[in-house]
Amino acid sequence: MELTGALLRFSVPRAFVVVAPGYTDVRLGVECELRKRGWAQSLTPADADMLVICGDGGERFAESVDRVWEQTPAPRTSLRIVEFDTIARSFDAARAALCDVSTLRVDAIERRMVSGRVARGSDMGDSKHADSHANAHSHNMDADMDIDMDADMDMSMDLPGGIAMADRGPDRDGLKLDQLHVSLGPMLPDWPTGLVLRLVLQGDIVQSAELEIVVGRRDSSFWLEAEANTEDASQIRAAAAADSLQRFLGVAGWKSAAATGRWLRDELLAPGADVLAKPRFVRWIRRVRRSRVLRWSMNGLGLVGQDTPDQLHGDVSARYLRWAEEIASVLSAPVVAGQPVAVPWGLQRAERARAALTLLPTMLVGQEFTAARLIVASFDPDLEALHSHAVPDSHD
Amino acid sequence: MTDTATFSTLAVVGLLVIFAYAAAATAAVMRARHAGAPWSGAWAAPAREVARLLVGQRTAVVGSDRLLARIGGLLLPIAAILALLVLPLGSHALNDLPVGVVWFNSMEVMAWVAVWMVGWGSNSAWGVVGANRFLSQGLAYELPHMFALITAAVGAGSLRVSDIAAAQSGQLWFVVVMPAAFLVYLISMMGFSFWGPFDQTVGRDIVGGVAAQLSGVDRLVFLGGRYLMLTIGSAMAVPLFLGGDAGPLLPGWVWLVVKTAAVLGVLVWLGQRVPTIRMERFAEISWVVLLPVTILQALVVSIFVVVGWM
Repeated sequence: MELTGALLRFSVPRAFVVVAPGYTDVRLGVECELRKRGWAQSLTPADADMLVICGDGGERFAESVDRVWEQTPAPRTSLRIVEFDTIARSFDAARAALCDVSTLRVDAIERRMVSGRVARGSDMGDSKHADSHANAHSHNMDADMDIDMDADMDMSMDLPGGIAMADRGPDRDGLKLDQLHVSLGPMLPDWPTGLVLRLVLQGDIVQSAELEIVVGRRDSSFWLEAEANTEDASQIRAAAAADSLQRFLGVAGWKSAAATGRWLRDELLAPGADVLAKPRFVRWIRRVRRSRVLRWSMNGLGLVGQDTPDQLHGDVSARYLRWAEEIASVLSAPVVAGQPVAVPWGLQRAERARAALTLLPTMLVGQEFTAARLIVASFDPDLEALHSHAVPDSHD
Repeated sequence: MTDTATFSTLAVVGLLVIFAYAAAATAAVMRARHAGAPWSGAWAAPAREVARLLVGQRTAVVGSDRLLARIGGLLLPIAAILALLVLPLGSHALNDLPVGVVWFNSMEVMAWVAVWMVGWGSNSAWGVVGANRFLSQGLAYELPHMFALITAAVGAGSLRVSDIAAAQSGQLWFVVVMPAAFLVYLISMMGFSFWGPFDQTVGRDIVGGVAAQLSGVDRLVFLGGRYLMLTIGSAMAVPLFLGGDAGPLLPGWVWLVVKTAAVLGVLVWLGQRVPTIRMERFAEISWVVLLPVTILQALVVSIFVVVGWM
């Protein structure tokens, strides 16, 4: 008892962050707060003890959250943050909850009982949300359907043994190979909020890709609002670029650069911060722009032709370097505030997201899994911008 | 007699664990500095992480092969500790096998099966993708790695690790004679401990890959085993290429510690500094560049030996 309590107090919480569409402001606040406290962010619910739910996203979102919660091992706590101002307070409360041994113990026992029932495969009747998985496992016939219906990040991992796991299909070499259905998003780390991509994989080659967009309850676009309401728009644009770039670097496996990118983004968003005073960021952007290993690793991936918005041209390298340029322009010299731009930035962003969504399904087919993720990260479509801007039907 | 053997074994394993912890703590401090997080206390981060994992529930996805995954997870630290047997500390190793190099190589090949078992046993798409990546990574690094080891053995004319260290005393260290073999050894070592640029097996793009579904003690054993692998790999570089305990002024054991720490430090730093290399690119480089280079290196060293320069 004492030892458990002591270990719990000594340990540092590790958060799994899920974001509802329209709550980018909360996500940024949460990531910043986690960073400042030195708490880590986990990549899967299995490695987390704190589930941070940013915003409220309706029933579909709630179902996914339930499933993620089911996969989170005890000791655990969950917190929903809807308002930016309450972040620090919620974190303090969550920390306290993670030290409350007796309550945690009750939860752990309950959790074990639930997972025990799932493991035995007993029929859970028609309980809908939290136990929907259990149903899928006990009815073989439902298994495939469940994969297709589900948008959870780890749907296909849940197939129980004994069930015909994968159907087969001819691959590009004319062999018959197992097909694995994997859904990416909406709760995947380093992933555009609200995007769901259903992949059929053979080995780790993408055979087909289907897009879905999860619409949220709140129709706000943080980046567009922030850009419109500030005197120094270039700073916000650079912050948006830094956010996309840190995601991309995360997917590319450059953890330290991704972490610094996130830090820079927070600094750019902080009121009155002077990023120019920190040579660290200048060094960082130079390193990212000059990294030969990164460019060599990315060259030739996800090539896009000329019939798309300028910002998307070229391969993955060209796209991440464009973000880097945008950040570098703010870091190297203070840009004159309120530069006139031909097309409003928000509209550009929306058009880019729209073009990316049109391109993605066909582009990803035939790509290796890593390449597919890198390509998505190099587009980083801002679906919130897309929603708040009614883009005229100029394409197709 | 038996007591001293037990004691020295425990002491050596304890030393390995201390080094592994130091590597993890250094990585944590560097991470915190890069993230702009409070870093002065970050050296304790691995210990606090251990505390968290010790109280954490062990979960498994339905249908996963728990036994397979747990055996796989355990294999990793066990392989690292078994590899430690042949590491010469001072004049002798715990068990100075006449085929020490082969023993070390076979222990490190255990990582293949260990990682694959964990990935497959977790019954998750991420785990399987990660496990398969490790196999292709293994296919890419293993041959150059073996040639690098063989080159050191040829240079000393013995497969006994302490003989290899002794062959360098009073002579040029093997790192000077066979620099390509040393570099390939470092690269392949990061390969088998899936570290730094070769961490696609547990990559962020597949949400932790092989480790995606691990929680609690299972995770602790697996990730701890990874650090032990990295540490034993660094420690083995010292007798193989860096002259063992040879060095001026200071006693031999200090040199061992300093050299091991230096190799480990470089690898930890590289892990922060270099982005992950995509498997596709690494396989290409490995077969087209590294393999021919190591074969050439072995040839050159063999000629040296035949001519009598070594």
